[in-house]
Amino acid sequence: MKKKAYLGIDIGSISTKGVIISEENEFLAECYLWTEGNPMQATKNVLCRLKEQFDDAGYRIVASGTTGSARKLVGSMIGAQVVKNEITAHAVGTTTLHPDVRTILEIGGQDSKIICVENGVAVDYAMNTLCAAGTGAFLSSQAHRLGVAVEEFGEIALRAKKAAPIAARCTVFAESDLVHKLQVGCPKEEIIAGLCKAVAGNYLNNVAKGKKIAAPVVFQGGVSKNAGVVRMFEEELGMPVLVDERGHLMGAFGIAVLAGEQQEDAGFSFDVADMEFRTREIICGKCANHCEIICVYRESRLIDSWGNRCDNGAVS
Amino acid sequence: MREIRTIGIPRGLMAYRDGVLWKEFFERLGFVCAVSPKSDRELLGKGTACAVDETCLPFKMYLGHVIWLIGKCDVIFIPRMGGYDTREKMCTRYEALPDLVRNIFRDEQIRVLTVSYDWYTKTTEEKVYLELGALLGKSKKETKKAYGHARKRQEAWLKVKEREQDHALEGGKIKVLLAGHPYVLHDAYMGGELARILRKMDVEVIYTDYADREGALRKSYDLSRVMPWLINREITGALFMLRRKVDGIILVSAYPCGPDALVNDMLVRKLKDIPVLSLTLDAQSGTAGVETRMESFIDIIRYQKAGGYGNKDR
Repeated sequence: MKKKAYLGIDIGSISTKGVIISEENEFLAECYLWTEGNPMQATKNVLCRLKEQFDDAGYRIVASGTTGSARKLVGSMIGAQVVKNEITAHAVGTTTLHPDVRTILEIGGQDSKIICVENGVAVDYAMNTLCAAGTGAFLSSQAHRLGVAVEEFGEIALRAKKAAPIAARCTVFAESDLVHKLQVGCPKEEIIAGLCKAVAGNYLNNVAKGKKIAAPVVFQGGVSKNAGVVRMFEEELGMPVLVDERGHLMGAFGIAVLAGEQQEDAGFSFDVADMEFRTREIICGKCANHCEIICVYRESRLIDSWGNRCDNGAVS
Repeated sequence: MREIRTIGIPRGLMAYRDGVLWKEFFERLGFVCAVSPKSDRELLGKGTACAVDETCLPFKMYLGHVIWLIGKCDVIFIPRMGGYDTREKMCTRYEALPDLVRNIFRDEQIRVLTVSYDWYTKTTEEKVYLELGALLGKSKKETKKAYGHARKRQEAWLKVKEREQDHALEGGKIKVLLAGHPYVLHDAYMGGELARILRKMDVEVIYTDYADREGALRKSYDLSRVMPWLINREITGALFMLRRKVDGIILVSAYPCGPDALVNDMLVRKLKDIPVLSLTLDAQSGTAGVETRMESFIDIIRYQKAGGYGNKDR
């Protein structure tokens, strides 16, 4: 008899993550790649990679879940049993691996969030609103300007004796500030350290504003791979900041854990990776709201639709 | 001047607070009221097209309602409300409303019926309505009677809403309080969307404006002696009257709102023992961002009640 396994996929705007876990929450397969503006193709690619790693003889996937900004689309595509927001998925994933965690910091490519946890369950959260200053995209563009690979940022920042003061309230100001520092001869590593400090400071003053940050603190998202930002957080908060090696997979892991709580044995087939999926956006003309309705087709047959504000716009 | 028969009431801004009173008052005086329909994207689009960029979403929506009424009535009722007390003022938008509308629609030459009051000239609501009646050529006696009826009708309407809400508060569903300006909470295209999403998640929606107004106003003075805005006072007071009866609070604001920016920041700091979510609505057509935020918020409440995620015993 094959052992039970659960699939979780986290489809973000920048990257798509997938994991398969056992009933004991062990990672059986994992994958991380770029979404490249095509969540359905990215999901297919993730599924192919997971399939390669997956022990087909020993395990059977009995339930699946999706999270992230394309959760709905991919959820209907793979027939997921659980489709949940990324706050809950991250909170579940992190509290499963770190039961005592109190604060989860997350900085991704375009968004950032904070989740406050008490007794192993989220009590409060915040997400950045319209502005992407201080996220991964910001660090990437500044790295490009400095002619440094963003992956080296952390290491370079740690070498700096001090951090150059850089305003990170807004990307535009940060950029002109940075150019100014370069022009007056400030060493590059101090500027990079300054950028890392600015990211941490910006996060604490914006997303985390008014939130109580209690230890233990776990830091996740792409930017958590930057040791410079980690150190700046530790200095600003005056407490250790834990970075999980699998922090970038926590959303996918969390949704897989939630899928595991499903009672029914729904099954899952990797065949969806070979099927043809298509979406179509239609503008409903039944009233003045002109809702944009998304229709999802599998092998030319409608399997799901959403976006209508009222029943008049229901597509069948 | 053409004789006034039909008075147009734009379904926007203070119509969501005082509309019942206005309509009853005019109808008692023998006029017909034309009320614009519920907000939708088309009205917002039209309103946005003639407003300056920086103004607030509800004002843009209001202009859409004014446009709808053009040609469908003899005059459009747009009061200039300054507030009756220095600590119970209205936002500047209301102090300028008839002027703004007249100026924006100067080519259309719309006829505006207005009445004006301010905190610096001591007056009462009744006096203001007597003035309005005189403007419409009605006798003092008629007007006084119409105002009396209208006032009662408005109070009765609010009492019904209050009672319905009290009933809903007794139920077993998760209860979320939407706190904000009535014209944001009850606008079909703004707060209406939030309520729809919440109800889809089987949540009971509670509103700050379905509460005893005078009581809420009094209560607000416990929290701030200096806050200058009437509606924010009513929101704040009702919030603290209702907070023990709900499972979570969503502070709803429409971008950009000056009073909300200041007051909601204070409220977030004062509301410590209950989940609070701050939502700012803007003209973005997609509701995905708002949906994710509300879904996360309801999850927090649900899992709190359930005592955890169920990942501990596995």
